[in-house]
Amino acid sequence: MEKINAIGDVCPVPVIKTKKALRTTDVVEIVVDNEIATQNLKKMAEQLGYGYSMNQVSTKEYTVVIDKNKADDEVCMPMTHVEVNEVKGESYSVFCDTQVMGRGDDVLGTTLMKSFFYALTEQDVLPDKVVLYNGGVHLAVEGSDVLEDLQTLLDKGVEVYACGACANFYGVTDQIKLAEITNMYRIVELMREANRVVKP
Amino acid sequence: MEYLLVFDSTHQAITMETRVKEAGLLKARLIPTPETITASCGLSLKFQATDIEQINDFLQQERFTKTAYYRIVTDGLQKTFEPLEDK
Repeated sequence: MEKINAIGDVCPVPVIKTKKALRTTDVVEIVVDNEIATQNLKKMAEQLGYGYSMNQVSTKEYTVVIDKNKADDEVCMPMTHVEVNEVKGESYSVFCDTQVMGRGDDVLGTTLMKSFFYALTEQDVLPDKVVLYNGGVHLAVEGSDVLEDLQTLLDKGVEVYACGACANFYGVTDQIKLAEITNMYRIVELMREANRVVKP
Repeated sequence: MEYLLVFDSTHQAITMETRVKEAGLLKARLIPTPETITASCGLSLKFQATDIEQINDFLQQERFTKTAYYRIVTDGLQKTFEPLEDK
């Protein structure tokens, strides 16, 4: 087992260190100092199909163990709408970098964005993922007019992500609702892997 | 039960949204007008039936004309819209 001390490392570094370690060893223990880092590691483990366990030592210390040999048993799940879309080749993801839709007038743009998300919930084919970055993170903040629609999408199995660096920049990290905080590595990956990218 | 108020002007729709928000009608919101209703600027106010008197007051205060009310009828996954004649 390889041990990694990632205390004090910023956002994507613990994940990068862990991935590197997993190339040469089967079990990695990573110590991080924040919960978001543990969530990112969990996501990574799930993607790779590796076992994940976490132990909170204190508010500033979390120990995560990722084990290649202990894959999660929950592999045989019924098909989600995402997988159904994949089969039909209709899958898409929504990437949103602003609170306003289009250029011209921001009052109109705000109204259009709300309309966009309402209409999104009513589509026959839902997106696999909704990714919010830059001004788009405000859409997932407490009091946002599209929270109701984001909740509807989540209830229907859509994954909603918000850029952590962006939320931090605007000082709204604590107010982010419904969206999972993620980083640029993951966002690029989501863009790259999306069958189609839809931008309002 | 929910009603829909259809506008023929986007400016009117946005003004009404501001009015209902100020009044604290949290369940009221603008949505894109359903495709089955054609006579519209494309935006409608969806609201609780119980709020209709208040919304009617706003309409009269703003002197908005050429608007229309619809009743939202949900039958399973199918939604239909029936015009309200008496308002």
